[in-house]
Amino acid sequence: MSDEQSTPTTWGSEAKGLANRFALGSGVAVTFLLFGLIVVPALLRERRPLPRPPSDQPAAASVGWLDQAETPASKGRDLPPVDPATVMTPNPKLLARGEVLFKQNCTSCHGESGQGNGPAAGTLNPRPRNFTQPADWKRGFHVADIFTTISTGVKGTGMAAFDFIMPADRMALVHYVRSLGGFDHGAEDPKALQALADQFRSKGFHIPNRIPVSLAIKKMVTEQAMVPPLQLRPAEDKSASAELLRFAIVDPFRAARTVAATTNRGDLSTVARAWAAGAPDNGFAPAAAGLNAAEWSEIVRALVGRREEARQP
Amino acid sequence: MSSGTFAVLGLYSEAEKIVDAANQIRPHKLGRLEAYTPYPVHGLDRAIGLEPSRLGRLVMLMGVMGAGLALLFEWWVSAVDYPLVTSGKPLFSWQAFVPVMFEVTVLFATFTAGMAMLFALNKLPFFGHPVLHSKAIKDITRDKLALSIEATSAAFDVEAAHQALIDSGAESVEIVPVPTWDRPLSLVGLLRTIAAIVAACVVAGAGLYAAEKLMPIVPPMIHMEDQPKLNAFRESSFFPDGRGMRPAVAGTVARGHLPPAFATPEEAGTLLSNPLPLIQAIAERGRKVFGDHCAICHGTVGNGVPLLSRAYGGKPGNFLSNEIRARPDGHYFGVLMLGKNAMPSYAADLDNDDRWAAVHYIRILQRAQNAKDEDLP
Amino acid sequence: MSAASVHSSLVRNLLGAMTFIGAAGSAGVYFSVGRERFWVNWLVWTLFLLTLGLGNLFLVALERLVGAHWSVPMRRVPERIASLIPLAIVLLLVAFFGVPVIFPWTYPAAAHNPILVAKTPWLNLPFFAIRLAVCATVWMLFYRFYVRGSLRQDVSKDPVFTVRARRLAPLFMVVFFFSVTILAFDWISGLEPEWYSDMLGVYLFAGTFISGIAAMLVGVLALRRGGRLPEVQAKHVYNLGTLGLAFTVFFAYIGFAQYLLIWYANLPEEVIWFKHRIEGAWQPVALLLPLLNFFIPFFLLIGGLGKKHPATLRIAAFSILLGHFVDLYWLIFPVLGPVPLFGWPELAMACFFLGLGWLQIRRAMGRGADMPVGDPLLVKGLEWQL
Repeated sequence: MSDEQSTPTTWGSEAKGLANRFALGSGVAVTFLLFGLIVVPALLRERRPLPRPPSDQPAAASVGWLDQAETPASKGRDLPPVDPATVMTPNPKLLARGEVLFKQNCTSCHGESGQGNGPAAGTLNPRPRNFTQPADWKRGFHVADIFTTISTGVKGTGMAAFDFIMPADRMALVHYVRSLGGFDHGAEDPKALQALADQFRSKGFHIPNRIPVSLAIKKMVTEQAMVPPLQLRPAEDKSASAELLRFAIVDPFRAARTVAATTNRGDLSTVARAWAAGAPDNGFAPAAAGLNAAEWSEIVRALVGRREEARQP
Repeated sequence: MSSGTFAVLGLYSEAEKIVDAANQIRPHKLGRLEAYTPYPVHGLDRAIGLEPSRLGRLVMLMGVMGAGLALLFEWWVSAVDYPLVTSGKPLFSWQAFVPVMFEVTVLFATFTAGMAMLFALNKLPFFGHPVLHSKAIKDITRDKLALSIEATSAAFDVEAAHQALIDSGAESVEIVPVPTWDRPLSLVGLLRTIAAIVAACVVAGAGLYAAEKLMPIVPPMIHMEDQPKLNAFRESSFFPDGRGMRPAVAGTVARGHLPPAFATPEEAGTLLSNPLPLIQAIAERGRKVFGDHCAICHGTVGNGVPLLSRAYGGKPGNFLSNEIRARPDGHYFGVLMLGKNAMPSYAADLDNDDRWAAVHYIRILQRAQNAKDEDLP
Repeated sequence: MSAASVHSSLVRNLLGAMTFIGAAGSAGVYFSVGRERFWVNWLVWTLFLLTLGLGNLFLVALERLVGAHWSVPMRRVPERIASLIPLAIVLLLVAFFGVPVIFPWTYPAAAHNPILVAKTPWLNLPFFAIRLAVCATVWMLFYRFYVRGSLRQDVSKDPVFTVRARRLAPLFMVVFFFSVTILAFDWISGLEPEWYSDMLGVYLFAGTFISGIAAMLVGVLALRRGGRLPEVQAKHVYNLGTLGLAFTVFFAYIGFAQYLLIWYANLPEEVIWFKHRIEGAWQPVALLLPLLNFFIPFFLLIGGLGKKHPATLRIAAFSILLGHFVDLYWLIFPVLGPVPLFGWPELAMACFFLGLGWLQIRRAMGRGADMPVGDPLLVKGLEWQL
């Protein structure tokens, strides 16, 4: 036993001891690091109260910049008038701009090369214009004609008004569309060109004010005029008009809004048809569609009279 | 020599003898008495002076604590932190907590029993009992019973213990020295442990991989997949016509789905007016309907720039254009009912109030993108 | 005449007097208070005696089934308490006259209740009588087999009976569970036939079991105190206490499981039964149930000390016995109304039935030795170490 006590410390046992301490120490260090860097911060983070939007704000307002509808308000401004000299005749820059805009706005119906064969063309009646065939142009293929068509659209067709595109860009589109049809466009009408140039010179493009949608909701909700519900006569009232009103109206609140919005639409038959058409969402009973003209006039008289009464202080 | 003695062992052949010997030696207070027997001997615990185990009280305490903690925890979870009414029961429904309380009681009690026995009372872990290194251990594990007098202090008298055991009738006596221990955490041992863990991981991983590759995967329970339920777009054996989706009863119209009384959106514009008041709740509903159904093509702000332009390639209407802004509410409603150009009808997807709320919301978008000067904050 | 026999005959006379007064009071209940109350009381006490007897017969059979040694020296006690079975069967047969009084499915109005009409295949008087007769026959057969056989073995010392008793034990278990379930369904559920609970049979069995153990405990302790079981040591009683502890938990588990499932599902037709029993004036009675049947015995018996002291064992056993009565009272009495009735009619009928039961047990005490001296397992049981 005395031999064991006097065993000299060898290199090997020293190294083992060091390794032991190193292993133990690094284990402790890793544990502390785990807690210090991950667990404790995570726990502290968990304790922080979650941000909550005030209750009178719509929930979407909290997503702020992520939501296009909630971009901060910006004041509207006027862009200066366009110099006609830069847009009246095609140039490479204008055509390049036109191509970009055409791809964005027109190809879905008119097709990549303007042949009227875009993906959505099949759903349209009449079908979209084929720009490459001179005979297909119904509203003229001169500069001023095309500009007008783009700006106002074509009523009764799928062609919408692209008035939200800036005039210079519309002109770029005009020139690009014309470049698609490789036929002779003939001479321009100088008078129409002059009028177009005057129009460009005289008027800039107005960019309107923009506000976040949540603010618009607030504004429009506060502006909303509350329409008082129609006062149906009590059930004891057995008069013919009271019975008729009770028969024709299912929701006095909605009916009041409908009456306020549509009584000035014209003659009795139009109003009656409108009320029957919107039933029952507008507060009138669907069965009211079967009423005859005399009954309708009775109803209108009762309701409009009632509304006039309600307006009196 | 005496400092190196762990205990003095005396061996006996019969259970009665060891009990008698223990009773004889105990009053001399030579050292702590301990017995090693191949089978339980009744009365030996009292003879060597063992006190009744404290384990029972400990288990009881922890069991009660488990029940209390479980109750506290469930009360806090279901009545304080996340109050959620379940099937009309009160938030603090002790009845529903009892099963969990029971389980936690059992958990605490059994873990306490196991852990306290092993670590507190049996003083684990240790890596080898000195008696395991004695010569007598072979006999003890076979048919002999051993009584040991353990050295509890430096003043332990080996000779006296030796004599006492012989006097009590021990067949043979052995002095068990304190063994020389290896370091519990040797480098080799550590490396071996790590290697063993790695090897176990490799073997288990390979086994799992092989099992997954070679064995057919048997779904554990397929009742959920195969349940005989009505699926709208599948055939069903429940109805005689074999259809899962039921057609409306002949001559009826679903509530809120009356066929429209107009033929074109323009006609709708002249006939209809929005029956919903523009209040906050309606605006929020419209925002939801618009976001769910409209914004994907007409854009979040309604400017006709589709969120899905690459896939669709369409040019949806721009609600901000003067042309569309000028249209009456009924026109929008009509388009929603009948569809327009490439836009499909939404008659089946929305109910009328949803449509009217969406119309309100389109008006709000138009206002937001074309605000009056006094609207600016 | 020795002092002991004087004492004994005095007790017997006192018990006889108590029974007689109780019988007179019961007649008074029948004629002056009301037939409903009489029969409901009758049913509670009959079931009380019957379950005590069946529980002890079950203990005997359980010992035979698992081949236990430790309880053999004490086995004469449950065998004697099982002698309540013939008495209780007679009482139950008498209770058959009360069936048209307290069981709503026998009323003429039941023909207009669609639920009861649907249950007619089970709930009709002939079948009811057949079930009663079959159960009673089976109980009597097994009672005679186990108790009389054991008494005969005292004299004959024939080890063959021990083997036969063990072979028949599994059959008894099966028959016993079915018959106790039928007993619970017929005589307890039948009082409110629109309600049902599959668990009521197990619930009654759990009550039977713990009250059987409690009665056996009381008997063993009483005999030991009187010096009639000198060979039975504290370790035997200790083990019996352990068994009691285990089965108080079982009873609490079954009772709570029945309550929890019905409470959770909250189906009106099921939950109304509990609403009548745990709300309003019945609430204190309902609270007594877990207290007497679980909390008091459990905490008295959980430690080692409690099972070593006869006093604590006795308190626990009486708590369970009282709890078993309260349990039957709570199961059956709510049919009389929303307020628990407990007055002189209940006391009078308690005197009658307790006196009867006690006399019957005393009668059985005279038969055979206090230990099954003919059982070859007795030596092993006496040598048994905890």
